[in-house]
Amino acid sequence: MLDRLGPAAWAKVERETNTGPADLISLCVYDDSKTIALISASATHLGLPVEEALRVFGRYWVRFAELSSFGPIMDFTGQDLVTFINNLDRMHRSVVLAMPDARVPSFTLMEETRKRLLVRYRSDRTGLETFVIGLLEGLMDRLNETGSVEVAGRAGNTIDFAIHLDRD
Amino acid sequence: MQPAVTIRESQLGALFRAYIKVDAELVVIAVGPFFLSRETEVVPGAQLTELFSLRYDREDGQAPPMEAAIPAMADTPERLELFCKSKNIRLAGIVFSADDGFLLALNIVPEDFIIEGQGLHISDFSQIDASVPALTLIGMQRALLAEARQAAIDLANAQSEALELLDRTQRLGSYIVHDLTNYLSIIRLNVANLARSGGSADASRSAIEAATRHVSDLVLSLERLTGHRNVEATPIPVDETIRSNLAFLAAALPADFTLDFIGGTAGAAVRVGRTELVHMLTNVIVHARGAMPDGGSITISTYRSNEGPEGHSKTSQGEWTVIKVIHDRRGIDDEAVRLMLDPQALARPDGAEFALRSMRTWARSTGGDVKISSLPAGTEICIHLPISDEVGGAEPVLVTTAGLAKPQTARTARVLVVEDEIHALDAMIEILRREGYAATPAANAAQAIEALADDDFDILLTDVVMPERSGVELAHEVEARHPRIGIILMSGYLPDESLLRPHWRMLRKPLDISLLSQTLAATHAKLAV
Repeated sequence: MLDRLGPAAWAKVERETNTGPADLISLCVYDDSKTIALISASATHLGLPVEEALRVFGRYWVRFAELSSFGPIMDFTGQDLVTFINNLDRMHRSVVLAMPDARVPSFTLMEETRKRLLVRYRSDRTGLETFVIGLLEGLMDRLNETGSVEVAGRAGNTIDFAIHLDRD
Repeated sequence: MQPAVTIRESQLGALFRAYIKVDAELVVIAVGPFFLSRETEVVPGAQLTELFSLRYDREDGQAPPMEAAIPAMADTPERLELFCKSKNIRLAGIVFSADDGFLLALNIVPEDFIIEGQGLHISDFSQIDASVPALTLIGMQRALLAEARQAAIDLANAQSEALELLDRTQRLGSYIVHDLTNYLSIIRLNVANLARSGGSADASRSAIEAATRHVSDLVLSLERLTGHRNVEATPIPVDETIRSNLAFLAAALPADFTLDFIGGTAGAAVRVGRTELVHMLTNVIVHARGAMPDGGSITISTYRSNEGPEGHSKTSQGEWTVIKVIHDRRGIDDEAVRLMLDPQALARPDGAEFALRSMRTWARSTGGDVKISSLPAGTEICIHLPISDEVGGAEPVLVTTAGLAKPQTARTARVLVVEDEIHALDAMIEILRREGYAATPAANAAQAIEALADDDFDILLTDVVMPERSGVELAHEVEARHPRIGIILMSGYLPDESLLRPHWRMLRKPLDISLLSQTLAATHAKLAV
């Protein structure tokens, strides 16, 4: 929001969602309802449907993390898609040591071929499906891959995402 | 004898990411996933002693050669540490004997507990290696510190900007007070003149009207500044603006002064507020008046120039408008000029330098500048303003009360006027009565309710901001009790629109008498239908 529409628009979103300057601090866990409220308000300002805004936000999040001081942790997690996804759970387990209230998801690489990866996502949080698609797209951007992400199946609190890679 | 535990290659790799199998001559036979996932010289066939140097836990400081140390450490709990000779890699673990040599069960030891620059990934460490959470936590801590440092810098910058803004606002506030004082002085001067002439001095009447118009515009500028309005200045023709305000400018001077104008910009337009330009010139003239106790002559001239103010590059076409004001009495020395315009120097709000400094702030805000020079006999003030490409609109025609349309009403309308400013209330009652309305005064909402209980009224004309009860609250109550009454609100600011009814009329303060007259007539005419 800040990058696209500037500080004035973000200030409006903060007012609309009753978000104060101390509410969004790195390494502080805040409620999902706050995240959704912020994204909904931002979506309105960006002229996007909420689902699309979630996807854009997920994709942007990876870029933001990589450019911020969290970049080294991203590098440590992996420099290729398979390694990164395989190491995500270990990285998340370490994050929980610093943020005990964080509800981190789990990612398991179920199938791997040269042109397709099947990733199983487990989370007790709901409504973040398009956000995860954005995150996986963001990861592809970061790791110099192109392709597409789609939902391949759902069961309970797990969703399978198929990553189709544009590889020869 | 059967081994106690059988371990597969993949399990070995999961537990000891950097294991190395060597034969009895310490030639590498197989390596773990750490070496397989990157290009290293640790490959089957390589000689271990050429790749690594050795350190192990002994207190005597005498390190035996690797060829002797490794067999001696086999199947003991002694810790083996290997240092890569060509890269900054350290491995640690224990030694097992095997049928064909030795298994060095090794893991990576981070050289430093900082993630950056080591080229290590989470998968380089075994599942149970505590290095992963340690490195991640340290990485997060460093990220947090970097963020906190940036936040502190941002905060310091924001604080500095806020202080600067406060300083500018205070200075601007002082300038506005100063300018308003000048206009009040003009009004007072001309009111006195009007009184002496028995109301026949047309020039004074025009000057008063122009001064109130400029004050009104000043309020508009304030609104723009405080965010109440977003108005961008449209370009105005310089010569035309000065010429049409010359009488007003002259009204700031006593009778023993002459004011001349020579316009030479040939229709050049500048993007500044009309009022701002006029009141800056007023400031210059008032300042000149102070320097000329015995009267004298002041000349304003304008011309185009390629030469910009100091610090601006020369242009090929005449892109600057120069307004020059010269007066012919008592020159000022260079040091006085420097002090006059030095923002660090103290300036009294009633001092002459204060007016000139506010003029320079204004000129610079438009992209121009001001220069003051002392002449052998007098002072020259040069205002450079950048010429805008766009052409400004026409000078507004001064509307006098004589030209206003009289309200056309079928019968005398009864108007209840509510205003807490007693002088404004008296003036309005008098004006309305002169215009033929039956006007009744009320100094607040309570008095208005009392008046409505005693008499019938056609129109409620009420101020919005009043103590105790606002005009908007009063209007709602009155309309509920008297649905046919016409409502007109007056305010300097637009009240919250959600509180207003769409059929209510709104007049902006300071009141334009002709507009008030027309609004009353229109409201009354609508009631009559």
